Amino acid sequence: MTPEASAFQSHPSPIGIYIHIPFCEKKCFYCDFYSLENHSQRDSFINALVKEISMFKQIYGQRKADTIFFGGGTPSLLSPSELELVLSAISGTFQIAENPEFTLECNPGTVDTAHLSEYRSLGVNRLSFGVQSFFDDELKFLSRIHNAEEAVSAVAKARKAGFTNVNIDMIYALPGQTVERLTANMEKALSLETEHISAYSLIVEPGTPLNAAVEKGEIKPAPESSEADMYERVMSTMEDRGLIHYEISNYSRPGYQCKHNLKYWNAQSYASFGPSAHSYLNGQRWWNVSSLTSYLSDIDAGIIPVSARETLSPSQILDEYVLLHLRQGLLDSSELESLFTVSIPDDTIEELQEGGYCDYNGQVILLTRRGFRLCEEISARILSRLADPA
Amino acid sequence: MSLSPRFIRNFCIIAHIDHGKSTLADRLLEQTGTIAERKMVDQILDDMPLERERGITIKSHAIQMNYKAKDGEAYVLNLIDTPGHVDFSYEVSRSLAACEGAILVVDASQGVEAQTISNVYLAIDAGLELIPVINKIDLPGAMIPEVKRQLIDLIGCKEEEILLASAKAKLGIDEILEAVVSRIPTPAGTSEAPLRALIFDAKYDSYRGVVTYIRIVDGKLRTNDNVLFHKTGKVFQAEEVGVLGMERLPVQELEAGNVGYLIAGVKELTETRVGDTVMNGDLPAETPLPGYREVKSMVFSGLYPAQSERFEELRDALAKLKLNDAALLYEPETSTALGFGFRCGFLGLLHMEIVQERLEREFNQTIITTVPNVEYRVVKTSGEIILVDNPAEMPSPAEIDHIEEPFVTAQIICPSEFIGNIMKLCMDRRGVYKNTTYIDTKRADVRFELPLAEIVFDFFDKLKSLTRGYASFDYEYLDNRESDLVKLDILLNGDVVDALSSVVHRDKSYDWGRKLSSRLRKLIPKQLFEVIIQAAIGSKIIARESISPMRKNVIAKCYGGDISRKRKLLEKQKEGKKRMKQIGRVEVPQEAFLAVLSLNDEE
Repeated sequence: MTPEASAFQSHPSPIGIYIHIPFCEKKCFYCDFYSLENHSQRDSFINALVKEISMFKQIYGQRKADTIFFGGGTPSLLSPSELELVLSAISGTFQIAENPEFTLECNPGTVDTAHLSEYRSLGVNRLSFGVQSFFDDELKFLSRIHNAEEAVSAVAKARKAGFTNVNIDMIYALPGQTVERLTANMEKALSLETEHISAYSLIVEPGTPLNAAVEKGEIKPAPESSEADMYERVMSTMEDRGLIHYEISNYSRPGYQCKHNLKYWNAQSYASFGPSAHSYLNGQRWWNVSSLTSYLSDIDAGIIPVSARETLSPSQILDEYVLLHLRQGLLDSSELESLFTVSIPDDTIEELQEGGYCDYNGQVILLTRRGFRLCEEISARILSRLADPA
Repeated sequence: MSLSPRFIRNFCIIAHIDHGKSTLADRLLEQTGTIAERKMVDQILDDMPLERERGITIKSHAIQMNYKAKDGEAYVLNLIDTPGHVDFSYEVSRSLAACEGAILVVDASQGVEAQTISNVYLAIDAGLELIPVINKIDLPGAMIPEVKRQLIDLIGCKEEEILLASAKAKLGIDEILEAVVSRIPTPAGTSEAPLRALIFDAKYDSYRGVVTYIRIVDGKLRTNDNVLFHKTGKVFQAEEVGVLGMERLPVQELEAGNVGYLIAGVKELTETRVGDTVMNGDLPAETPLPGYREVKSMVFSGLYPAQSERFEELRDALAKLKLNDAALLYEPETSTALGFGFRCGFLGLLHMEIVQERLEREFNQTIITTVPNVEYRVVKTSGEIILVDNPAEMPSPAEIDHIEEPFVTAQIICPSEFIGNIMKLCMDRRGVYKNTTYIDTKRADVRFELPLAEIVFDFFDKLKSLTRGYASFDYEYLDNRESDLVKLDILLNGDVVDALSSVVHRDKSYDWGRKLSSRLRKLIPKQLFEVIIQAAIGSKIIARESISPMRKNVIAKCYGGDISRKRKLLEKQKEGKKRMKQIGRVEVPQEAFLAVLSLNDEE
């Protein structure tokens, strides 16, 4: 039995499905997701993807799935017929729940109204637009292919096609960005009245052209203090408008939290397909090769295109538990104790409270905005001090 | 088989660091067929990884070679290795006591250096026959006539007694072996007398217990003999005796004059002391051998386990390490900042570093070392005199009549163009100039009297950089002198951190306090809370720095593909925190406890 299969058997709750579409019209210079500008192997890829999903038929044995997420890359490059092909493979391997959350990421620059309606008729019920900014110069800096006007009209087209659950992704703390610009961006995003907004500070990821430019000194990243100020501004703006801040960078109208992403953060199972995609089942994580060529040749040879696996040790599961819960703003100390038989020393919590980093009701640590800003530091601080329960 | 002392030669090699001692030792082993050339790992005798890495010999080892001399006779040559660094003169003298002669190696391009001189004095004190060898004669910078003159001046030999060699190029090796046979006296002592053997080294073998390295001075030592360790008075049975080839080679008996090892089922590290005399348990000799002088610790420092629950492990590790590093002294102490640990006495700063590194590498200990200090003699107003080897234990100023600190005579040999730099450095370090003599037209021997406390902090590194690496340095304890010293405390968020206290001269205290605070500001990372660093003498704050709180430490994105990567970053951050000491709310990295060492670079 493969690890995937053995892991599955002891964990029968509904699973999330992630499909990675590794193509973009143009690579953004800050992005480190696996994606290609060369689309010549697109047909082979779709065939391979269908085959990959089918290869797991035995393993997942019609397991129930309640979220589907097409990410990338640019999934909106898929034609409705390609999407349909992939979906039928998914239905062959999994049992799709009634009303699953079905998200497709879209580039605002390549939205096709006719496609949107067809996606919808195929079951897609949530769109996520990579808007990033409403200033053309910022979009240009980010090497995006769309402009601000197209971003606004993309959301309108989605509404017209009947989508009632839409996300827009925003990026802030661009080099030299002012708080005024940031506020204007957030106001504009809010004015579109989407159900969900993700707002990320610009991360300089290793291996990206952005990183190279930073190392050469051509681009100076925003300093820590202005990034911190901007992050607080984002949080307060979103919350003032009634959005729920439910993860470091994610805000939603009540009831519109992204169920699929919550699976990542609550250590629930997800099955993923396509190059570089990561799967997680019951303490085991494995990920596919980040190379379309290897992916295609593996699938062709009937091999699962896994690059590496890891079985999380109890202490790694604990590390992820603390990190991922604090990223959602709350850590339940009694749940922590019952799951892992460790306790957080009182003085550690008191220090955090006194510093204004969290509220504590004797059971749940609730991060304040100040605490969200320092989430990693707080996670490491708590983890380095965990003690045996008293 | 009985071996006449006539055919035994016991010798060591003494040299300044990097003058080629280890390479020469390798060559002798190769030439005598003790080890085949292709099996050679560079520097065979230096089998501690640390030694090989630093290119220095820390611990003495011994090895036996068989050599057929030109006179047609077969000789047994016992080479006893010695350390070369200034800190280890004590260990050198240990090795010397087991020998009748020494090869004195001097680099042809460097000439006589400070440690050449100090080692020569030790060898002459021990009554050894010296064979002067100029090494590296094939190097372009070789100054053979000059170095010959220096050697003649130093040891009073004749020019024709000086051998020329290049251990690297395998030149002159036969001549050296012949000189060992012809010039070094045969061992005195007789096999007929009752057994007296000098323990010159020991190590712990997890399977066999303590292995002692011995030189038989009188009598014989046979397997199964009862042996008496004179100092402890304990009797054991000799399970195995043997000679030291590349491995231990058991023999039935060892006779007067020879060098070898003894395994006697000794499990307790405290029962064997280097310097002790081994006697026959049934027929003990009347008097022991002279043994070694007691070690004097010059530098003290607190050693603490980074994780307090590993205190017992550290205690065991120190006990094992002490077995073959008799110069290491330690006793338990408690610090409010660091918990339970040990106050350790070292021969010098290098010795301290080596102990620290050996604890980490050989015994897998993560330790925090506090700022090294010397031992102060404090005369209290009550007339009571106390010795203080931990600054935190310095009495309050009101109780102190005066404080005395150790002074050393420092000898610095360097090219004469650097004398100015050396003068300035030594004056900055409160030195008292004595005199300058010239070894030859280009090189001077400068003598200063310096407070020991001033040379334990980076003096040697400074000296090297001010003389472009040309200066060599040695020192010797001189006396204790009254000085105007004060205790400088460091406070973190208002609490005194005892492990950061130091004793400094009053004239330097303000500058010191300011530099130390500023250094700590750089070494202590930003935290969730503001950190206030203060330097104080008594209740008077003389410097203040603050570390503003961290503002942002969160990664924006964390989805399926990223979780493993993010967790690894978090694990690193968490481990980093575990290595830090928590003082109040402040997480202090280990390096901070040694901040003083790099203080002179602070602007």
